[in-house]
Amino acid sequence: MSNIDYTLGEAWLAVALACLGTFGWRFIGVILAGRIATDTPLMAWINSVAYAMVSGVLMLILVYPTGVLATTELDHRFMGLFIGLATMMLTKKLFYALCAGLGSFAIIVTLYN
Amino acid sequence: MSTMTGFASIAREAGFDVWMTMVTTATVFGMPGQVAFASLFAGGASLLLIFVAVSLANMRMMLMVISGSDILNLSAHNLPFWKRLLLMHFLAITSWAQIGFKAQQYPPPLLLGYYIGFSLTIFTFAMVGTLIGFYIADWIPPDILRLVIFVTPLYILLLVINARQTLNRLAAVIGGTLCPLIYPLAADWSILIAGVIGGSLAMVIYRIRGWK
Repeated sequence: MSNIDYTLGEAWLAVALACLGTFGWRFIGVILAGRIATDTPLMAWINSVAYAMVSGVLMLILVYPTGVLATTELDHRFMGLFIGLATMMLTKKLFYALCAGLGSFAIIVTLYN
Repeated sequence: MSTMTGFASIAREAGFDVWMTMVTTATVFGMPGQVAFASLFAGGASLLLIFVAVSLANMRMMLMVISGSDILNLSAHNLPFWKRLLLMHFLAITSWAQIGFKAQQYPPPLLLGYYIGFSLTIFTFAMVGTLIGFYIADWIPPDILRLVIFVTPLYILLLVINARQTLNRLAAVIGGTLCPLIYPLAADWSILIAGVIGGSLAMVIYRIRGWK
């Protein structure tokens, strides 16, 4: 199954551009990392923004899923997440939280879908 | 690994061959950018648009690399530039969140070894997951596959919410709430906007409250 809109060369050029679009940021990151001192407000801000971005990316996957995860309902995904987070706060154990979140999601999805 | 399985099935639908799919995982190695790439490719978007969208979706890599280098205390290891770059090419959300979590247990010299082992394992799993997704996703019942794909976002959100610093936990909560809310308006920009607002707002609240 090939895409009629692109030639093979253009398709690989697209791959190269996608790679450049990501690797470029890593490259800049490595350069900047050597120049920003630890324990400064700037570093704290960068960390803080990184956490907000990563959390945002994953919430996007959960709220607007693509592919097979999209066959589940938003409420069910939220319930799994909520039970996982609640278990994490109560037990402080990652493994229990993961099992509780995934387990409850599996049960809810199986029962109500 | 499981999200890469998801990526491979999207990529195959978009018209990628197996080599393009594998090379994309290996060289891009950043999930949201890969999904944006495959979706735009499926829609026949221009190469410029693909480049811009991938760059926006994966801009967080720069911050993760700066933050990751800081957590690993890379500057103290006296490594040449290409080695630092190579180490950071294998940085993924999972390994970044994992070292942030494990930094509480391991001192920096051990943490670097831990990171190398962990990130190479993740990379290998990602490649295997991509291959599986490309060829055998059809054979795994969708009822099972969707549970597998749910694991990654759940696991990383649990790691992130368990960050050592209150500031980072706060940033994760604000960013995670804001991002899906503004996505219908901001699309590819939503990660960047939610990140900057979430991170900055968390810092302001943290400063005002005087938490430590």
